[in-house]
Amino acid sequence: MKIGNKMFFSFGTATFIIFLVIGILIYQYVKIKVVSIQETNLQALSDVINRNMEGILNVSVKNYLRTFSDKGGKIADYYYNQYQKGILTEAEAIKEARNMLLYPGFMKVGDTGYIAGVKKDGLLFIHPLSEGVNISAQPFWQKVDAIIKTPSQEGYIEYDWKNVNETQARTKAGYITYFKPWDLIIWCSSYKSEFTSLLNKADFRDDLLITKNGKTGFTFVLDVEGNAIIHQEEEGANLIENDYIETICRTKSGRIEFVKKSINDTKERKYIAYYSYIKELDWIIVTGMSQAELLSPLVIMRLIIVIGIVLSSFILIVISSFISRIISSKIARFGHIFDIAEKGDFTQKYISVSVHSFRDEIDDMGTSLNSFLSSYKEVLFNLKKITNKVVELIQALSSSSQETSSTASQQAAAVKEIVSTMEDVDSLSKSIEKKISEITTITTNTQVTVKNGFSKVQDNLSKMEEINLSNKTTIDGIKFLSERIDNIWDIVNIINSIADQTKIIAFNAELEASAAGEAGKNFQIVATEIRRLADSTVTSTNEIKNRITEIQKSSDRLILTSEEGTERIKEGNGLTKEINNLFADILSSSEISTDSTKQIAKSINQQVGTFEQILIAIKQISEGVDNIAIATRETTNASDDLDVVSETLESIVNKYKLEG
Amino acid sequence: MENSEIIDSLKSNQSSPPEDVNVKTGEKFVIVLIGEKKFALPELIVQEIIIENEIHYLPFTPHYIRGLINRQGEPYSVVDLQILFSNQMLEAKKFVILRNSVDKMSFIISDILKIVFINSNDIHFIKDQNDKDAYFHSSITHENDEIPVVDVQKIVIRIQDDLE
Amino acid sequence: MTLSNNGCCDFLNIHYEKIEIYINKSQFYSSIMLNEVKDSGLQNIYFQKIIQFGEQEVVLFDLNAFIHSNFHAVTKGSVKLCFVSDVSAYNRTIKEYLKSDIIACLIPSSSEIKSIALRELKLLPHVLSEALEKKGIIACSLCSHTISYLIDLEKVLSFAINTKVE
Repeated sequence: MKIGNKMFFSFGTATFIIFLVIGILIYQYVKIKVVSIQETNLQALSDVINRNMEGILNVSVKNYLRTFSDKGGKIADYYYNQYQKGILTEAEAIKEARNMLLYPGFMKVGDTGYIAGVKKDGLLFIHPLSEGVNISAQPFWQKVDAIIKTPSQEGYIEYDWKNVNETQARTKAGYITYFKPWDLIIWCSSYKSEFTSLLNKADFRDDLLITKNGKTGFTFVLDVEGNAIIHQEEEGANLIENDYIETICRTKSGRIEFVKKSINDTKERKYIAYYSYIKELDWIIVTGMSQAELLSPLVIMRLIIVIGIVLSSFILIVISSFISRIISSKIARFGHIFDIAEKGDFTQKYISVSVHSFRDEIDDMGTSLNSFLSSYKEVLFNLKKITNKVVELIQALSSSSQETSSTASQQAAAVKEIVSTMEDVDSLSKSIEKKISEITTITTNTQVTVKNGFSKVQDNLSKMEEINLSNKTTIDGIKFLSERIDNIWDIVNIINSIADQTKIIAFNAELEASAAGEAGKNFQIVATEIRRLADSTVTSTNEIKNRITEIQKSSDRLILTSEEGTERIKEGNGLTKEINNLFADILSSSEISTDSTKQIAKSINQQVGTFEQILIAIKQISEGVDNIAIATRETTNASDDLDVVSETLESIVNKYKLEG
Repeated sequence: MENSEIIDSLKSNQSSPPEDVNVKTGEKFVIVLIGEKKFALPELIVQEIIIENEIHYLPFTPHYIRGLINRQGEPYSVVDLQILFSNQMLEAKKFVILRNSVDKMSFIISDILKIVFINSNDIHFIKDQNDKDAYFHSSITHENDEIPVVDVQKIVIRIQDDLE
Repeated sequence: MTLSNNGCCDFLNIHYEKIEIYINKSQFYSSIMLNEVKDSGLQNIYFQKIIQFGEQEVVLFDLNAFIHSNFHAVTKGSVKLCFVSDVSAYNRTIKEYLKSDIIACLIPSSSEIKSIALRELKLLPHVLSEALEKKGIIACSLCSHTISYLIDLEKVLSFAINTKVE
């Protein structure tokens, strides 16, 4: 199946289903809403009609009662005037008024109603049944009180009432008027249900019948027996036989659906109706309309949804068809390029016809294909080049292998020459070995001679050491002597200082003697002698100093000479040591020489052995070279085969057209 | 106890005030060596020679007063005549203690040479005083040397002038 | 004159390397350690600091520096002890300069109170004593290997104040 058809069927079907589902859902939702609104309107209409009816009834009752109340008020007023005029006493006037108010023929209100006179404190002053009863505690008294407080002091009142001979309370309607002179409320009342006769249905029948919803709407009034009080078609008839009527009369208020064929209809229709009960009249107000008319707004909506689904499906089909055609053409171009490439022509390219802003993934794929093709072309180019190269190399290999073959033969001959040369070298090595062993003998003798000389030098060295040691001892002795001379200096200095102090003491003595005058004369002589002794001590110590200085100088000179001698001995010692070192070097050198020649002899021996092994190896090489020549011939054959293969490869690569 | 009381107590315990010794131009002189030079002092003014005393520095005194030495527990000022005469400090360890006529003063000297008797003929008084001779009132001739005689009073006057 | 303890008197003995300084104990009444030192604003190098003595700020006389520079004394140990003296009885110059009746004097921490017999003290040679007394040196002692000088604080302060050392 073509992609266009696939797209058509897949997108079309999917879109159709989606729109259909959406349409159904919208329709159902709207339907529910419409029905709800319609029925709400219907119910509201029913309630309005109900309230209107009640209102009409209330007004009628109120007016009726008011008339009686006014009448009662006038009666009271007449007799009060009589009293005022003095014609009657007050009690007579009141009595007359009572009689008039309670006269049934005159003041009959409804069936069981009456006019009463109630005091302001709640006492039933005038009452056909319950005079003397106080009703101020009754729940409705507050309403009465409120009316009395109004400026008009009159008003309408409804309340539940039960006479003493009654078992159940019923709604009573009353009109009260306050007669102030006697503090008397003229109360005209009766049960509300007794006033149905007040209502003249002719007053509202027509209005009621035209109150309806839509063309099939209707409104009618039943009583609880099922009699049609007001009905467009069957007024006065008893409709209780109909199930729906029976249900209505039973339940009195609610909602009902029923099927019926109207007089003007040819077929039955389904209807929906709301009904409510007017308790005072014992009537049921029914209003409704056909279900078809209720749902009429949905017809257009249904039509719109269907048209929408169809239209959108059609548009989708057109668009998908267009897009699929574009995609198909692009894919066809791909097909064309691949077909040509299969034949080896890689020069074709994918070219996009779309405007830049309308380029899609297929165009991108085309761009990728173009770059892939160019890379592939490049690979093939390189492959072609390599193939050419391989062909050249194989050709070169073929020619070189032929050369190698001839070279191998030449090499075999050359190796044989090497073998003979190696044999000559071997005999030469053997003669070297003989010479080396002679040298070894000579060096060994030399070593012995050197050792003897070395030991003589060692003896000489030790003698020199002894001389050095004795010289050092001599010098140490001289230094010791020098130190002792320094000690003598210290003693001399001490003696000098004592002499000096002695001299001072002598001077002090002389001074004291002078100060003593004659008495100190002998002491002065003693002091003078002490001073002379001190002077001679100083002189002697100076002599000692001089002598010691000479001794010190001599010992210094001796030390100097000894140190020079030590230097000479050291030099001699040094020379001896050098000779010793030289002999040691010579000895070690001769030892080394002996070792070395032994090593050389050993090496030569090893070399001879090695040469023999080399000779064997070269003979083996010669055999190998012959094998190589054979192998190279085989290589030449292989390269010829390769040449054929490379030609085949070249022909394959050349099949591809890479440039336009 | 206040310092003034201490001073009074010390003064009262002090030995008799220095007596004026009539220093004659006299016959005996002590010849001392100060540095390389010889000087003479009248014997009567010389009390004692002492050696090897440590000089303790004394502040607020002229530079030629080297400090104090301890002689038998008493402080003696030390005057360096070489600083006074030729502005050179004397490195020496001998001190000439002067008699009580000059309260507790000593001169530092290199050495004491001799005590000699000098004839009057060999004592020459200096008449014209210039700066060089400010501290000598005479000189003596001994063994062909002309030795100046130190005038101690003038030394004392110089010290007093410098302390004011 | 009153003597205490058989001719002895109590002195503050300040130790230096080869010199001792005595100050009559009656010349000070308290001692503190060197504390929060601030600048006094005075030019004289011996009076450049002030320290806290109780709630008061008192001028610090660097007596240690004075002795070091004039007596050529080498300080032993740290210098963180201060004795406090009442200068209210001293001459006017001192009180005007210090602007206070109290002064603190900085001395080496190793100082001690010592009872010394007066017989150990000697007056200086006559020719020097009067001049040195004006500068504060009133006596000396040669009983130990070193020399000890007895100084008068009032005269030392007067001399230090009048010394043009900046």
